[in-house]
Amino acid sequence: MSAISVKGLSAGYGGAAVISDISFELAEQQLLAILGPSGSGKSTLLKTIAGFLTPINGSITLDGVTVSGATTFIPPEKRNIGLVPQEGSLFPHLDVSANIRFGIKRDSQSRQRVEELLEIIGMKEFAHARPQELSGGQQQRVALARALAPKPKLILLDEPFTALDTSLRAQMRDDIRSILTLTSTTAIMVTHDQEEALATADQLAIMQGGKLIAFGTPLSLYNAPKSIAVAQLLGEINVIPAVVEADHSVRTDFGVSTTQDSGDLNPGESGVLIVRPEAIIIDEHSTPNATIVDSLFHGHDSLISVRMDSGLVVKLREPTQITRTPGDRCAVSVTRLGTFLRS
Amino acid sequence: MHSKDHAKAPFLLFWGAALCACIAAIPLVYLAIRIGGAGLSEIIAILTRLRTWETVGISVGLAIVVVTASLLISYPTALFLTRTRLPLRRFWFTTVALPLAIPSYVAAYAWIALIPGMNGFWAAALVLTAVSFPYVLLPLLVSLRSADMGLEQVARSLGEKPTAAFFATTFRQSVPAAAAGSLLVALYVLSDFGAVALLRVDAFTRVIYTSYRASFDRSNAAVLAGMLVILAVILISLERKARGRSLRFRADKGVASITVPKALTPIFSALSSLWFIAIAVISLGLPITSLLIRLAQGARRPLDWAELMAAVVNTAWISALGAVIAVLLALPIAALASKYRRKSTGAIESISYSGLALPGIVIGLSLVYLSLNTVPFLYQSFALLAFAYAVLFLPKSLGASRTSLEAVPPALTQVAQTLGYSPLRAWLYTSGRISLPGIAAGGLLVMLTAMKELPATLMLRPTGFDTLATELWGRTELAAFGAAAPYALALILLAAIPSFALSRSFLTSEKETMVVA
Repeated sequence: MSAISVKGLSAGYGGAAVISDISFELAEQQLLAILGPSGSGKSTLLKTIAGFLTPINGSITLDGVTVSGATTFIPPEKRNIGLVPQEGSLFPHLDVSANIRFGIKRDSQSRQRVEELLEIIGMKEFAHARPQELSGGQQQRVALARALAPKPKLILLDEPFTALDTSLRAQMRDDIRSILTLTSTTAIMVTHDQEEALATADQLAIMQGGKLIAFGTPLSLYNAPKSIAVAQLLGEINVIPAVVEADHSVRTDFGVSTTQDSGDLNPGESGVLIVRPEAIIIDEHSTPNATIVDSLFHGHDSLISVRMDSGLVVKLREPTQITRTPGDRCAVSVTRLGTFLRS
Repeated sequence: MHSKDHAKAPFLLFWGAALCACIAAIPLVYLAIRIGGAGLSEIIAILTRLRTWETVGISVGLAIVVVTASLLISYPTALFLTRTRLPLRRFWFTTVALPLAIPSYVAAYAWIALIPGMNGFWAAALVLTAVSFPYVLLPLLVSLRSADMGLEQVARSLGEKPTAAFFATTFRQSVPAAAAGSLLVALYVLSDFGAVALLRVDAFTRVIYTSYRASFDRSNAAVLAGMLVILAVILISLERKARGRSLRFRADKGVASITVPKALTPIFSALSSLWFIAIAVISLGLPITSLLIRLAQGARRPLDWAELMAAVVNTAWISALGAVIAVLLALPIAALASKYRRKSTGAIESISYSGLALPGIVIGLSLVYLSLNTVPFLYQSFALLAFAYAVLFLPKSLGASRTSLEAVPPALTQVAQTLGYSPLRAWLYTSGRISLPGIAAGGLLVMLTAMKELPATLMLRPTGFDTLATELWGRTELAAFGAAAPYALALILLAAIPSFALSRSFLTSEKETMVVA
């Protein structure tokens, strides 16, 4: 049974629906990242799941129990869903232990539970610290412990790292990831950072304009996106015009080659190939077929724009070894063909 | 159908807040009803009376003179304080705000006690300027202090002379703050009853009071009160606009270049010190000296300690009651306005700010009529007096409660809800608990302000019930200056507390909230 199942969900703030017809399922102990540009409705979806918004249509089922549906609405306090908002959400008038203890009954076990959680987040020595004395990362770990304390069925993380310094983020991502694994928690995290989503999630949902436009594992969505929009959201792409040949191979400015899923392609169809910049290389030994236009230094690698003799401009990524000067001639070729999308 | 459980809290909150706002609007609404009851011909007769327009002329004239004087005092003062290494700079910083602590009628009493027989337009202008100019000075100080010197430096680098550069940049940035302060001073002058009454100036408030006392002409009082409210509303809306603009000037990000105070030549040092001494002597020194002299001379009758203590106790508990009512009325409105921003909630909030546009004399008048005509058993009751305080100073409590509630991130309440707390409990344990100090401070401010209130207290107090303000008033009217002195002193001590806190918050933070004391 899936931990959470969302069917045909539409919701909004009294006016028009902000999100519409959202459906997905998430298995237990999985981390789902919802990625989308600001205004795409990802926070609205999160609020609706938490129970702060009543859906217009559709249903939300947790562990087989419908919490939002046509005839039922369970208020947030009875859903057993934990919430970790953006930075600064700790109760400022309570110390770390009291924050963690906030959602559990005060009994003989509560103290033990708090200590257990302090151990898990690695902050035993901060039990009596005030939120103001903690760093942003520590605050977020306490917020997670507080949400985990009542053993929720699901944890919702609303852009939990946005307020942190870039240098801290990767570390926090790993920490949170391992805490969730350690506690076998199912979680949904909202983010607008594609790198964060790709690195953290088991499942990835991509939202745009209030709709769920893609759902799948990060790898499948990155390598085989079903639309240009999805491909773009997950990183830099080249959109290369292509035509299907009689033998199901595709012809592009790079020549003729076969794609992984060319079986269902009809000869004569035209469309585009989505090719990631790291799938294009500069081949030092072949005959030049392109001219360097521009080179952007990114430290570990460089993003290079070249104009092919056919006029097509493509971007490629290569480890920073050789300095590419605009105007230089070079030979480019594709090492891994992307997805073919019909136009 | 969705369960109503989720929607209930906002629903109750909305109508609770709406109810509170309606209660706060009672005096204003009843005033309108009373004016309407006078009949059109009567209203026209009053409006075409020469005396009515004389009153308007005197009030508006007084406001213009006091505002002009306040600006003339405040600009040089603010520039000396922000731009120069004036001797005793920190001391003057605190001292210039202190005149706000002297209620206008206490200042008027002190001047009359010093120069018996002092009265008239210019006397009132002097007294009112001395107690209200900090309303211009304080925002001006904040504005000049936070003005981005970078702009002035750019102007200099573009070839402007220092003075020209100042007028082209920093001065312009300070205009909205000065305008907002000026409007507050104008509002103060129009609403003031104590000073104009003691100095016998026939401004709005005094004419309203005399018309009301001469019971044959009560429509006149009501119509004049209505005109006063309209003037006040105009001033308030202009002040809002000006303040909005003054905030926009500071909404920029990035680090502003800080002003480096200039050293003064010895002559300038002496001149500027003289300027500050003169201001301090006129606004603080003379009134307080006069008061202390009268205190030392004593009265013909020795001071009746029991009477003084009774007045202190009366003042304290009736003001505290008013403050409690104000907080209770303000809380639902603040909770609503801090969380839900819609047109309807904005309207509720605006209505509850009606106290700003209602001078004490107007609230007093309206509630007297209301109680006499509809609920006679409330006439001159403690409840009605406390209610008058609550409506009059509701904006203070509302402002404080709202500001502190808004400072609490809404996510906290949501987190509490996901941890199993019902909406009300979640609110109480997070927003309510965290903003408690701010809400309480707002209540305390209402109490301390209500303790100084004079006109509404005079009109609504139960027979035989005396507060510090009414005791001082009665003794001054009888020219019993020595007997009045202990009461004046007690009032100044009381009023000094919030003013001191206010001036401190001005100096310690740039994010000031202007409060009409």
